[in-house]
Amino acid sequence: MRKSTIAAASAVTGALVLLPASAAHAHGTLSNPLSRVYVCKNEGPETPKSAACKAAVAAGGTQALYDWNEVSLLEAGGRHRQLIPDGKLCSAGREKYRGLDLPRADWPATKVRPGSFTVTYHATAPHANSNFEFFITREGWNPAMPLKWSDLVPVKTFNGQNPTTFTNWTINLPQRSGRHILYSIWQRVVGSNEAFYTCSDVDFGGGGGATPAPEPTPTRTPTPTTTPTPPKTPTPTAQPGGTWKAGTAYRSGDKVTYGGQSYQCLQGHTALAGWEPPNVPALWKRI
Amino acid sequence: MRRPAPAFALMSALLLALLGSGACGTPRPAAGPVNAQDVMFTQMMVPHHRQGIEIAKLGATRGRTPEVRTLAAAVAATQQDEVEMMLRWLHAWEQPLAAPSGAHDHRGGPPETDRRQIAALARSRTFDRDFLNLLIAHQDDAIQMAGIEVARGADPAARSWAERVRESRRAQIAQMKSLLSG
Repeated sequence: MRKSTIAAASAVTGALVLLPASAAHAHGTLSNPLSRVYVCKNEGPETPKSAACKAAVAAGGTQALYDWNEVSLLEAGGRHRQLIPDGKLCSAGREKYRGLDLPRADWPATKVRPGSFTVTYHATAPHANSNFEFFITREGWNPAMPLKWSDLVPVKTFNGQNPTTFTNWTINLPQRSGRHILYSIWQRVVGSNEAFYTCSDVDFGGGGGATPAPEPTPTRTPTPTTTPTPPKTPTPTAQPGGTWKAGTAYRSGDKVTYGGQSYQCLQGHTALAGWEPPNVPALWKRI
Repeated sequence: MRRPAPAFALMSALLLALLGSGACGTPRPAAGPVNAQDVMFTQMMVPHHRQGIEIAKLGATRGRTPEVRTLAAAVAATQQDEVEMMLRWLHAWEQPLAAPSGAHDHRGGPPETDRRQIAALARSRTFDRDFLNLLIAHQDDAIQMAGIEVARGADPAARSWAERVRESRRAQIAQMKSLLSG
């Protein structure tokens, strides 16, 4: 009964770009050493046990953990450093996963030693033609500070990989002491620009006094409620007949002008970019 | 180009009703350069939007603060319009209203996971916080889906709408984060 989407679209346009490969998205995360999202997902989204996972859920909710294998950017295309700001490397810059960015020194960590180490990637939907990059934080990195791109030192890159559900690679961990993050990027190369990002907390031991903090000042204890927030929701300042403005709280019946046209508010809301009157007929009626 | 008559007749009637009611947004030309990405994006966004509407409607009725209820109701209303707009597009493109079964949904968890999450939200004792976090996650996914359309779509109306999806969902998330910290 259903006709092929591709064929039908061709019939409509006659000039169709085939994109079947991008239709199927990969999924996965690092399972050894366990990534943050995997640790918290294993503890249980509704029943986190560690203080760090509790804080992650308090900060960002549980959905991030149900979607543990999607810490990804669908259109990354290798532009990781452009797209993901410093401090948001563990969430891939995505609000959904913001709980994973909490800078804390108590994320459950895998004990490791310098030298040969086998990493395992758990891909619930593996895809061929992929590059995997592994990084470790620099010596002297402070786990209580936000993770920055400049903190990462490349360890090993595996190009042109065809991962399976569980794929192992051997990497060589450099000399480090105390807590660090093993960071990975899985970049698909053919048929998709999708990339996956993981933060795995590792402990090289011998932390103690051997980890000089870069700053002598006491480290700020991050709390889940202090994530940077945009300005508060503004108070209602609707001026009848005024110009539509994002951030204004409009009530039903308020009148504005936008682009030389007059509109009447149909339903109360705080205006925002993308909800300009001509774009949201549910909220504004042209008068 | 077989058309299952009853379904299409019903759909056409619905579409005519929608067009006649003036519920439509920007008028668009009947046929443009439409590619498979446009079709896939629209077919996937319809169910994703409907799920968002379900979440938002819970917020509109159960929200503890007027700010949460107001935002949720506006999200539900705007997304309902957008669903109708997308169905009109699929109809104009002569495409099925849903992706062929077996087509991979971008979202990782099976739909049951999301249904469970919505059911759990309905029972939540910390409703506003859980609602805001769930809708932030949902809209964050929408931003990702829209990003592919912006990069790879062909239809100008669908692409410019995808831009607006990214913009408005980012702004919604900013509002919701502000409500969370308030």
